[in-house]
Amino acid sequence: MRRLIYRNLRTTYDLKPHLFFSLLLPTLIYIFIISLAYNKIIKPIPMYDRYLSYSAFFIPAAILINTLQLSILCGSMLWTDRYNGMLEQILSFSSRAEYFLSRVLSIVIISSSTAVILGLISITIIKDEVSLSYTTTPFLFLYAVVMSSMIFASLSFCVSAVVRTPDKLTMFNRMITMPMIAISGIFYPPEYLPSIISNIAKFNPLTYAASLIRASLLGTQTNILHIILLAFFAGTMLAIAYTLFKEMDITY
Amino acid sequence: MKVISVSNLWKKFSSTWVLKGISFDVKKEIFGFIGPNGAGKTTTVRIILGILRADKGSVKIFGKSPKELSREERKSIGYVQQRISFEPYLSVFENIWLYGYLRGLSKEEAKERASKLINEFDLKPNKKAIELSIGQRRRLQIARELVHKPALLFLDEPTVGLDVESRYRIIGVIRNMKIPVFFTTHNMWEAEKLCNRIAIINMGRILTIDSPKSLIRKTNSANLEDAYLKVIKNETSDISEPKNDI
Repeated sequence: MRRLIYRNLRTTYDLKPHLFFSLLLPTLIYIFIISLAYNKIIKPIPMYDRYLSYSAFFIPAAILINTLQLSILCGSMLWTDRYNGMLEQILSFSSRAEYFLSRVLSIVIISSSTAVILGLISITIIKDEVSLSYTTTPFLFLYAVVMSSMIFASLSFCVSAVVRTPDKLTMFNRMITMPMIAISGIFYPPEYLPSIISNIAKFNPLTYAASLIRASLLGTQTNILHIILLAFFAGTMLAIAYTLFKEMDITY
Repeated sequence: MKVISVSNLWKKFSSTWVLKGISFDVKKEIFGFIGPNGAGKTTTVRIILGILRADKGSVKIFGKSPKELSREERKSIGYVQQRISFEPYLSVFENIWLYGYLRGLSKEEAKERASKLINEFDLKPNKKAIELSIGQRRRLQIARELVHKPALLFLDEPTVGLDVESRYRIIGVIRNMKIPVFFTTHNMWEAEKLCNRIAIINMGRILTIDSPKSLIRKTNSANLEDAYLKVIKNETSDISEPKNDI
């Protein structure tokens, strides 16, 4: 498993050397440009017992956009291995479970590393409103990122296992991720949405991930139910993705 | 000792039976699996390796079903696919040593073996795999599958796309390996030169299993190609569809 993860990281790095920059850039634009501009036109948002500037509200959750964008590459990587014949090659000496777990864990490592970089950058931008705790901040931050990464990696694996062409993979990934970002607590509190959409947000794992990542950096109240729900979504998605992958035709 | 044992293997894709109860054993030998396109050769290899599931029948490698094989046993098998497979953005050297490492060699051992194979297969170590010609990619693929000194090797039409010189080189390497080899090919010349025994498969059924020399003699043929054509022509009309109760 460890060696398969090494292989995944090694080949990902070589496959797309510009990958990290191209994926970090949109989030950095969100953090440095959009959120600071909106800060001037959006009034402070009430969260629990305090008012947060729009930057403080948005920047921690913006890290999850990066996590999502990186994690859905997991499905594309599966397709690349399939296209190059390496999926069949690897499965000739390791099990589908090992391949699946190594792929998910590799993407979790990549997305967590970039999230930590973005987290450190974010702290400098919203330093006046940050409230860090040595015990809860690292745990909640990594928990939100790792669970989100597992959920979206699994989701992209599900799509990859079902679609027949790479073009459809890209199309379905966009169709799924765009509404998930929009109907979550990343850009605005979900309770500000129309009531029907606000109810849909309750079934969106990003809503809970956004709440936890804010709690980690801003010291807002941690909801235990959100921790449990995020683990439930991750477990369910991993199980569905692996079931579909087990039945997937590996040839291209 | 039987290295591979296949018994009454059936496989269906959609509504078409591609394997219709094939059985054969492979000992410590070079075993040729010969047949036309779509005969079921690659499907058989994939089932033996545990990549595909059979609908009926059993497969044993080293006396165990593919699922029962330990990690080490699975990693001790080499598999050259019919299609060319490689890590496109890694160098030739990295492509080879990485797969030695994945199959249990230490980094140092894998790198040492990779350097040796690069010389043996006349490859350029620093060139990216995507920049190689088809023949060079094929040589890279075969070298990669030999890096861990396999205990059993599957070669699924490994010389397709190779020039004559490369083909001779690869046949020489296979012949000198002294390990059991399961070798599928269209090329009768290769089969005649290399294989201790051959099985001829057509439309999912094995028509005959014999040594090339014995088959040539029994069919009064000049060479294996001639013998193969006689076997295929005689047997094709006799093949009937399997019963529906499978």
